Amino acid sequence: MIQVHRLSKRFYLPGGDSLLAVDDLSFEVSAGEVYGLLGPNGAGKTTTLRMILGLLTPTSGQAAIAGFASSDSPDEVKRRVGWVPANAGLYQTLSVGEFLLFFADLYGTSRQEAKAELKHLANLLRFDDFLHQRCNTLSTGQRQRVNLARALIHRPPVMLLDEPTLGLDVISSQVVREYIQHLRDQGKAVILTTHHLDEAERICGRFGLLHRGRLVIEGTLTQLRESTGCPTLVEMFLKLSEVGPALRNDLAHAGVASVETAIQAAGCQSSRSKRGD
Amino acid sequence: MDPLPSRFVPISVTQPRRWPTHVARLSRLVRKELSEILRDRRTILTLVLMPVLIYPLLAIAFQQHFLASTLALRKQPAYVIGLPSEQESLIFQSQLELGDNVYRQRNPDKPKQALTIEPVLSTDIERDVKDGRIHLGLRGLPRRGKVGQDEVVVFEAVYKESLGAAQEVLEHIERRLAMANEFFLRSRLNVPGRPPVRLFRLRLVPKTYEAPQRVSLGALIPLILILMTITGAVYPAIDLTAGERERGTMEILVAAPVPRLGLLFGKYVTVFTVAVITALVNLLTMLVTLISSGMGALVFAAGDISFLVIIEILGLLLLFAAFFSAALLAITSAARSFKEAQAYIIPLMLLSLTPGVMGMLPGLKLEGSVRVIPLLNIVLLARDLFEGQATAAAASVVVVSTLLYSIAILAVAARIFGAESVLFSEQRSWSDLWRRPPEPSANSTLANALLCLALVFPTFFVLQGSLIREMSILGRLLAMPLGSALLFGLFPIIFAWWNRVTWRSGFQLRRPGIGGACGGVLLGLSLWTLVLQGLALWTLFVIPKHGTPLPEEHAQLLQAFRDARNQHLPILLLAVVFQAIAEEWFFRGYLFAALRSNSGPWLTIGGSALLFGFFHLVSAGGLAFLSSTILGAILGWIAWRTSSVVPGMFLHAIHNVILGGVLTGVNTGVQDLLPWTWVALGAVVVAAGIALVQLGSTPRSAEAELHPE
Repeated sequence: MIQVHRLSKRFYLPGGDSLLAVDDLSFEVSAGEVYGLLGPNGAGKTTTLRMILGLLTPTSGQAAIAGFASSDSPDEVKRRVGWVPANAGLYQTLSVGEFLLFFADLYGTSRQEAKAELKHLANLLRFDDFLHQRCNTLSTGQRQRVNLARALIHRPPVMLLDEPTLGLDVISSQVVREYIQHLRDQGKAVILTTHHLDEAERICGRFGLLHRGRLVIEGTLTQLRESTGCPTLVEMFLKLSEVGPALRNDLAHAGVASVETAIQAAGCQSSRSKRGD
Repeated sequence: MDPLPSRFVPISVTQPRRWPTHVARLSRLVRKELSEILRDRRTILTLVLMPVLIYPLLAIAFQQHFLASTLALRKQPAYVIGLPSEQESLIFQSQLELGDNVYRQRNPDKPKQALTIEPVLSTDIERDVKDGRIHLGLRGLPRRGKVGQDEVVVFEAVYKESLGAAQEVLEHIERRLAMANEFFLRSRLNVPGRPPVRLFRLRLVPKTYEAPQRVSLGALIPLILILMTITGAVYPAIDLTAGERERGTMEILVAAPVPRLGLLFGKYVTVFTVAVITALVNLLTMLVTLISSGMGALVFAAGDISFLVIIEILGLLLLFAAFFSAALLAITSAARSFKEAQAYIIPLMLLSLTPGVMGMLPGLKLEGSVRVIPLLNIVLLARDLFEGQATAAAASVVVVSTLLYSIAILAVAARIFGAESVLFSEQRSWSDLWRRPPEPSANSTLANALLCLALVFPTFFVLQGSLIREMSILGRLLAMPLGSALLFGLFPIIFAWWNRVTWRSGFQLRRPGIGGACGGVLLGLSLWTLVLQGLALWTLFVIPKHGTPLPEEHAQLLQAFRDARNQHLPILLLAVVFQAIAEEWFFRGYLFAALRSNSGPWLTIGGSALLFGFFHLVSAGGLAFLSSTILGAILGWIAWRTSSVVPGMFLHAIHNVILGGVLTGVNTGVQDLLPWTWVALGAVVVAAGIALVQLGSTPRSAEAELHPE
């Protein structure tokens, strides 16, 4: 459903410098799959999602949704994607219902369908009781639930969720997790970026770990455990993100280039090591 | 860019262009934006409360100012009379006092008159009268006259003829002096020998002074309107762009499958609507204030606030709103926060006030190149309307140029709005906005084409109005093609080069089919008969008075052509051919291709024809607008059918050669009808030309337009 092929993005900074935010990134996400795109701040996660959606133009490579390239057919891509950016806002003076129906309109959903979907989502995300309230009276958790509903109101087959639990309390986070599981059960292709790695472990089927724009490692949790030797994502993340690349550079100078070697050097045992290869 | 592997090859789609859908979506966008804006208390504050409070306050201030300036002398406690010396003052006062006493004796029942006179010393009576320091200057003449045996002392009374107060005090003094004189003459009757007495007389020296040129209050109103229209439009413009970005709703909005130009246009309509509502509230409050305070006569030349004047002002307000809404959106679209937008708007407001203040200068007139200076032209038109001096020709140039500027500014706003460098400013630099695109494109974007048009328009006007018009016939003939090459040729070439537009598709430089080319030639040979006959019929029958002379500009142009034909025929022919090719290069080439890539045949042909007509409206008046728009529509239809600029170039060049080179020699004026046999023959050839174009060419499909060569 989602295809990313050799995607790169270079930002030109004032003063003539440039920053390679995403570097030759490739991966795929199937329908009914939740893909965790993980990495530290500045790794290129949000930039990748924005390129997939067509909000940013790639410097090279392409992204496609259901066969539509985001650079060639941005409207077709946008029509198929529900986008939840981090810190998305709401229209303050509109009521929750007006806000959601407005976006349903923008996506070309008929009024009748939109109202039915609104009812369904209000039930799913538990915002029936504040459906007629103005958006500026909502709490952070309520706002995020409305935003999740906004992304889903046109029933897109693909969801891009950029840190959807950012700043939420335990209960609201639980609602979001249930929501993502619901998306997966509905057969949607989901890309999730989050800093809550325990949450990602529970929700995501596959993971891609980004560092400085490069996909350092990709696979299911079992595959990652096998290849890194780290039992949890947190440990993998720490080793890959903070220590790995820096160490890899050092090791590259010393003639050792593989990630596995770097990981071993950083502390985790690789499966091959465990197996005694 | 790396191609996708085969399994990733995207599906190619051609979206049908459905105008009803676009309009419905636009209306939904506008409805949402309006409901959001109008629910905001700050909007209501600027929309209703400000004008309701400000205009009455301004009216009070104006009233105070004008009453103070016109009636300043009346409000003084006494009529001030200047006398050159203490002695003269004493003599005069004693006579006046005597006259007063006589009056009181004769009219004991009447109350004492409130009129009091305050004599002051004046060393320069003329100057003091002129400057309004004294109502009346009195100086005794050195030579005293005689009437019989009586001595006559003559005082010269110097006063401003237009000053009512001077007349009043003069009459009063004359009456009192007459009473004093009468008293002397009567009292002499009782004295033996009837000694001679001293009589006093006034010799009137009325003075007329040129009134200083005052700032017209009518010129002040546009300044107020500018301020109030901006006031209404500023808040929604910021809120719907920078505010939206700051609140985090911009990203989800541009993530929706709606073109950014559509989103921006929705916002433009909203800002425009709020600005117009604000302007209407302003207008209404202003009129109510003017009428209720009785200041209408001070503002309007005729003194009456007619329905027509109200409609004209309303039209001006729409113009103001159209211009400011576009300008404000362009500026606020570039801002990354509310605060930044406010900082950007301050210079715009100061800039806007400059023409407002300039419009108050009495010497500045709405003529020549001033007619195309943005904003100043609207201000001057507003002033002229208030003063009853506006002309239709100047008004049309102001309206057209302002609309063009608004479109161009909107085009710039579309380039900025939602651009990566603004939307994701943490990662992008401003230079990205103007960076050359990495990939070539088949056509110019509509935004770039309109921006190019907006640059061409005033340059064309300045060149034509200021430089070329002053030249000799030969100079004009040489300057005309050079100017055309610069404007219609070079400007789009630079734009196309910078934006990597493919020449062949971006200027419609495709080779036409035989049918299309031959059709163009036939139409060029024949169309002039219908055009001229149509113009003649229009002049004779549609314009109410038969034989009404041509508009001055048109007549001058025709005369210039005749002169040129007589003196420099080959150069004239070359010039008109070059002019035709240059105009086609721009209107049916660069601009047409950009319009075509964004819209269907009606809008493309109609839009390019109207813009073509506007250029001729400015240069040659209303009739030229009509004929050029029709010609533009025909040329546009051919360009659409053949997907090539070349047949239009044939048509236009031949048409110009016939009109410019041949016809001016045989025809004495546009109002002369051609022989009907010519017209009939022309119509047959026109029909043949149309048939050839229709049958000999096929418009390129939408698919071909999306994926050009």
